[in-house]
Amino acid sequence: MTRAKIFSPEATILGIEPRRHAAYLIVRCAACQAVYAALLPTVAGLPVGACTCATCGNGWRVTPADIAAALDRHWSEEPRDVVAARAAAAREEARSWAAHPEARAVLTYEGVPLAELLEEGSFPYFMWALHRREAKGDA
Amino acid sequence: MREMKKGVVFYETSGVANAYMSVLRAASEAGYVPILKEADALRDRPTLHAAHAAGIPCIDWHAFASLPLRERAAVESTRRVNALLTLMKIAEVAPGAASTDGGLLHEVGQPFFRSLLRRLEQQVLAIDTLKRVLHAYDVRLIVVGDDHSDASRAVVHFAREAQVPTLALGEWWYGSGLEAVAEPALFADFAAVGSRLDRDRLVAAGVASDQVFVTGWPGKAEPGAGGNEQRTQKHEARLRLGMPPDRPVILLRVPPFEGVSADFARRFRFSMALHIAALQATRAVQGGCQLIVEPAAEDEALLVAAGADVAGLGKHYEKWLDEEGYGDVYLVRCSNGDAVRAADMVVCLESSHAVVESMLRRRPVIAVTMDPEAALAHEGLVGPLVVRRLPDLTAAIESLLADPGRARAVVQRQNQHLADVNHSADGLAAERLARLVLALCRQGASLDAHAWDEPMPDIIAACAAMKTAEQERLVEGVRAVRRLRTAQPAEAEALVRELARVFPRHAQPVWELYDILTMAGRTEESARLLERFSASFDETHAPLTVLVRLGLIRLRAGNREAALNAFEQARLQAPYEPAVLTSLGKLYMDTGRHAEALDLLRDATGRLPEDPDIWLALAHAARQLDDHETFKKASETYHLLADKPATPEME
Repeated sequence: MTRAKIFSPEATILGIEPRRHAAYLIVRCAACQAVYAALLPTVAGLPVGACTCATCGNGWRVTPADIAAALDRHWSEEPRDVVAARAAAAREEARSWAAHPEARAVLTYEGVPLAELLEEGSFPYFMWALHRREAKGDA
Repeated sequence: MREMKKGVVFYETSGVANAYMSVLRAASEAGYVPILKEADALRDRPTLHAAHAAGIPCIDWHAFASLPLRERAAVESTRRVNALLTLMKIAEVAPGAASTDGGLLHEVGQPFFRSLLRRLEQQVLAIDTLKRVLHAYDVRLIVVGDDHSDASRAVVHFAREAQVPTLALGEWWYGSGLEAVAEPALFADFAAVGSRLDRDRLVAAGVASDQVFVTGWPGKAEPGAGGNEQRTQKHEARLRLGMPPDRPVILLRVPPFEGVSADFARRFRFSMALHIAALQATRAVQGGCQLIVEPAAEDEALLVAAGADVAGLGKHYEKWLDEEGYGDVYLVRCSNGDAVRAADMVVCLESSHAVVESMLRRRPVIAVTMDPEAALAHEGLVGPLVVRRLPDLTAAIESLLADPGRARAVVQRQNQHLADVNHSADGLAAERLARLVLALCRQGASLDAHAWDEPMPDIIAACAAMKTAEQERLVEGVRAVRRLRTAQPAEAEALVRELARVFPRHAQPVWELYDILTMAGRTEESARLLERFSASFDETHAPLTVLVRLGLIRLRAGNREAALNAFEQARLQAPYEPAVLTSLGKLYMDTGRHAEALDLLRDATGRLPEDPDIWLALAHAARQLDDHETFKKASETYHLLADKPATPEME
């Protein structure tokens, strides 16, 4: 099935979530109201490109101004010591989330404790969750 | 019992592997078969092909990761994530219960578990594939490009259990503070780093000093590129990039996206601001100038892997530039060094290895810091012009453009510190790394930390054969042949024969000559050419591409038995390579070995599911065996992919 590209400018950015090598936009589609995650397109650090709704195929443009505004809404500027404290907590969580013996047993393969080795890729999820929790607390 | 061949695995070193080609050659010539694992995003396996083209017999790691192995990894991963989700319902044993904040795992929710599914699958596949490799080869060393990634750490852990030493190539440790990965750490047994400063940082973070070897960064230095030579380089590089050669050029290099950075939001904001400041500076400087924007290769590879339309992205970027009124901007991807060669100066983020690379290319560097108050990420970086506030960027660019003497002074100052940022800056980094790799292969974990760094004539000779200048001459020669071959085939043939004589170990001139002869209808001559080339290799060490082409030519000439020999020899090297499976499968079918053909072609469809020809061949084989189910699936898939009715019909 070929989906129509409408190119509406109206999609609403509900969040920006970092991952190990990229960020994802959490978006509400202007055409069908579906909420979906889209890889944030960038060119040499500048967010620019297009995203397409996974449900209805509605396309919309990503511009630096829109992303800068969304970043201000969802990731306010913070002092370095606040970020450093959150990073320490997130890293600890990334190391220990599967430390219970039963969870550890489930995640051991050929004698390799897989969960312990997932630290780097898990870290951004816990950073984001802690950030979101702190933001809710502030609100 | 047959003696196992010795091997050395290069696991996801692709980003830098072209620079390490001489290391591959040294390992190969010392009797260690290089086994290459390229990142999954690099589907066309550029390093493997480059190695084969250079006459280095390498084995593809992916060839050991058969379809059943990949299916098993997916099943294992799903089973384990489902078990975890069940455990989450039992409060006292829930994943997260043993952590400092048991509730956080619930908050990361579905996206985390979806990613977990994929990441566990990659880890399981890496372990199972490594087991197969260890079963087939006596692996003496595993070199990893980044020992922090999920799968790399699983490989390192499993290797340690199997008593195979691991060596991490430490390019990614550059930078410090919150901008970089939160803590420098070494998970592999040993690390090779670029400079004494890099080693000091790791040692300060608690890594034992006898685990860290200073080799320098291979491939980054271009000793002697100065004066007239540099001016010629600049002019030619600009022409190659389609730029007017006489106007000043600034290169903007932004490091790869670091979602894992603790300071993601500030870093992202700063990357945007730096990009826009560079565009504004291009417009504001007196007399105007041109800007090259070079995206990080890692970011591009990720977009490709995610199925993004990278060319379309470029068009969106150009449209935005037009709307904002920015002209004279050139988006350059994968320039192989042309972008930096073309530039009068390089603007980059201070905590980035682009700073060091640009210094080594003898270009004045403007290093912009994210935090005006913070110390520089690298205490040895006193050479580049440091800009602490973005509004000062235009003035810094203007000062270097207006005063060539100042630009020269910056380069001279940088040159004084080259040895600090790249060990000795003597152009011998590749040789040193090759020595380290071979010493680890031979001595393993009992390596004498001091004895490895002594000259080994055989390695130096191997590395000398791979000098960049020689590669470039070959590439230029091949380009010239391709330009000539339609309009002036005789000249093209003469040139390519000369290339084949000068570069007897390289396959590329042979392929070009083969194409010229085939286009001229001289098929017997082209077949003899490949036979001769193949015979010049030890049969068991002949490159895979040679064997496959040889098989195809023999097949075309009607010599099925000889073709079968070539394909079966190729299969010994690469048991799961789709080109081999397909060719051999079709040949088995032609010779009545339908059941074997079916197995091979089924495996090939798993490796290259988007290739309609393989599905068609599978449908033919299934028809011969009255396998209705496979026939139906194969012919339907072929129909979908080829967008035309399937030709075979079940009788």
